[in-house]
Amino acid sequence: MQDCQAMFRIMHAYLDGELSAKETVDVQTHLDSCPECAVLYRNEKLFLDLVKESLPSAVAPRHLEQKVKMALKTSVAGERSRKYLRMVAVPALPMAVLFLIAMAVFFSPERKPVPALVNAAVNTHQEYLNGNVPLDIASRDPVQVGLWFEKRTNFPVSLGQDPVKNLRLLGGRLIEMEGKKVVFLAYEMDKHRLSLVMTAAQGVDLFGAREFTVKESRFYQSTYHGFQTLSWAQEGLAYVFVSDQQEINKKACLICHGHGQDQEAIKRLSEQGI
Amino acid sequence: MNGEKGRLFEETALPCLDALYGFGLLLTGRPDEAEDLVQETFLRAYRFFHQYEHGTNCKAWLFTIMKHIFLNQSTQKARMVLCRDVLPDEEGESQSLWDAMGRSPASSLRDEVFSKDIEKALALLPETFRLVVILKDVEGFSYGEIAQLVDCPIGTVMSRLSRARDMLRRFLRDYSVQSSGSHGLKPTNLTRRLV
Repeated sequence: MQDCQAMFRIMHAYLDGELSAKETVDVQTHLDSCPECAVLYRNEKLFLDLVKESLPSAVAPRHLEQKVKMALKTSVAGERSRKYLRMVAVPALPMAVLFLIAMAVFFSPERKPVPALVNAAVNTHQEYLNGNVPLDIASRDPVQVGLWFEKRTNFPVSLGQDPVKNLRLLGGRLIEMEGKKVVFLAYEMDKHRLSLVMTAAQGVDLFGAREFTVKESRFYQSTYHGFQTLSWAQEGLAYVFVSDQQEINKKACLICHGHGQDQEAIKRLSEQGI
Repeated sequence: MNGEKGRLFEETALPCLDALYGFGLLLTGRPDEAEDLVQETFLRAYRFFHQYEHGTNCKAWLFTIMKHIFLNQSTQKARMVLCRDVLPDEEGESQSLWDAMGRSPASSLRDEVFSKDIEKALALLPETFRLVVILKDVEGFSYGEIAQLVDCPIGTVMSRLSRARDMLRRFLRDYSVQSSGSHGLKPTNLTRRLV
């Protein structure tokens, strides 16, 4: 390392033990050969040591531990009694099911069920737009977002490095659906919010009001809660694309054709999770 | 709370109570709200204790749970404390720090500055900056863990930490220059210097 300013830029990281072995050796070599930086380093270390030893650790009020323990006890007891209630409630279930079927037959015969994944995608999209659920990771960097999910999912989440023009990644959130881990990705395109939800395809049912096939992949399109949804499964993963725009297919096509060759584009889209 | 799960939870999670309370205090700024946040965090942690990987950093796991609860409760306040929106100039390095270094030998500070003064100086830092200093210098989290806790890229955590330490150094230097008696820190003068 030749540059003293470069040395300075990573001095705190060095003091905090955050550098790689190679970087650490570089810093040590520089400090051995540059008396000015060595003085700066010593002063900074003294200062940080002083700060560290002077900063007070928080101390909770004495009653808090007891309060927490009581709350835990009550909650555990509550959980047990809820289990008991479920057992009591079981005989009532067939009646309830009959009632629901009757309601469905008489009052809303046209209403079709919604796939659970589409339901989860639209709900999360809506809650996210309303500001009720934050992103677990807010970042425009596909690599950073991909790595964040990699540690938390049992399926690969590889996001492309060169997203389609105008399409910006905002971040992601890990959600759960029927015990499955589901990745929620938020995008922005021409000031419209789009979401893409993906999970392992096994056991996921997909259907929709409209169906069509593009290059051997079956796509389903629906409108749900005022949002357009496009869902499909590919290479072991199930995807749902949610948008507030009317022409979701056109949008999706635009994205596809933006990449040139259809086959290649679709493959890449699924890789990018678009 | 009985049984193996309860015992394990008490052994692993409850020792983090003080640190969690401190984090709750930083997030909410109010002791009563911090207490509620601690309680809610432990209840949720107990419910999801099967998801905790034993041997990993339990404190980081609990802090993450607290952050999520806090975010869901008060998005408005969370925007002020955590960095949901990164300001463009925050990624840059702090040139002033380079200038400031070397001119304030810590040895001279040590004689004049006491831990009470550092506490006071810390209280003068903007919330987002105070948060990273405490997560690093009190709680000992790594840059990566802090980045996840405050929803920032690591680069932003590093620049905030550098700036926060720089501000602390300035506060303390100003203090040691201006106070020959027991005046203590003067927030108005000091904060003006920050701008």
